[in-house]
Amino acid sequence: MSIRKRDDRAYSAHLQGTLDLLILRMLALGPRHGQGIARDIQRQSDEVLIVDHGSLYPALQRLEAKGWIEATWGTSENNRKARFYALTPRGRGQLVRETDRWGRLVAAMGRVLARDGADG
Amino acid sequence: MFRKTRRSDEDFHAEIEGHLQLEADRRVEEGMSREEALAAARRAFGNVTRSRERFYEANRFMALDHLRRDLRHALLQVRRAPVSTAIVILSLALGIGFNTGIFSLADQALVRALPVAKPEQLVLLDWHGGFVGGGVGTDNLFSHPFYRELRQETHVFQDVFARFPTDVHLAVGHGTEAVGAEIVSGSYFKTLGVRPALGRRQPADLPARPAQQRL
Repeated sequence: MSIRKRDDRAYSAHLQGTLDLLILRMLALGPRHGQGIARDIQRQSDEVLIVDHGSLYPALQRLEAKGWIEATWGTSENNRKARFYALTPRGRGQLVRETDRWGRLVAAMGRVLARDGADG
Repeated sequence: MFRKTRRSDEDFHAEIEGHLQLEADRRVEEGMSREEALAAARRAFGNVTRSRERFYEANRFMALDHLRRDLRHALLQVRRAPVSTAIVILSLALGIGFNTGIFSLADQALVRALPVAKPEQLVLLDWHGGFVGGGVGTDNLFSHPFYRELRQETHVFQDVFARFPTDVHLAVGHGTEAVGAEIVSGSYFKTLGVRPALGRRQPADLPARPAQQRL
């Protein structure tokens, strides 16, 4: 796992699957540009998840190639040219599947870690 | 079925530039100076060049991915329409076959035929078996008495000549030049039905008398 520790309570969401899932989740709320996605992930996680901007764009590229998101050039709220990403129907399906998978993973991790505490 | 044209490197770079500006704007709002904010945005982004390299790499793998998808699509089409596939394969096979056949024929008839009177009647004799002095193999080196016998037996061949390739030095002007040559028997020109371009022809009956000769 490569979730990198930045300081005592902020982690960079580096794990590929995690970042993809977070991007899809942000776009489910509406179209956004790359910087907006990174900013919103950071805000909504109470500054715990910090997106590495250098891996954000390759991730967006990957998701676009898979047909889960689509992009159009537009203008940001403060009049900057930016590429806006939106979720496709296939992306929405992927988001549901991945959210489900992530829930099972977290639950399984929780069970294992809880048992470790009880046995010890 | 047409796929969107691949995204250009410039387009990707423009997006990153836009990102840096937006990120700087956010930091300016938080109270940084424009210059500080831009520097901080670049730091947060990390290595822009590395990111562009990753963009390139992603494109390369995408190309492979597309190739795989195209191949799978082609195979699927083949399975879906076996009759037209069979017709296509058959016509291609016949076409290639005909071409090869005609070319080989033209090659034999026009290119490879020796420029002699009746190339189709020429045969090269060789033998199989043990060498004198050990070893087994094949060659077309025969003894002179054997050659003489062959020339006398005219039931099979109209005539027989012997040849032996060798290297000679030819004086050209003031220098010399190494050229390939052949030592041939007197029946050479008569058998092949050709005349020398230059020089004098050996009388056909003059017996060549080396110890061994190629036939």
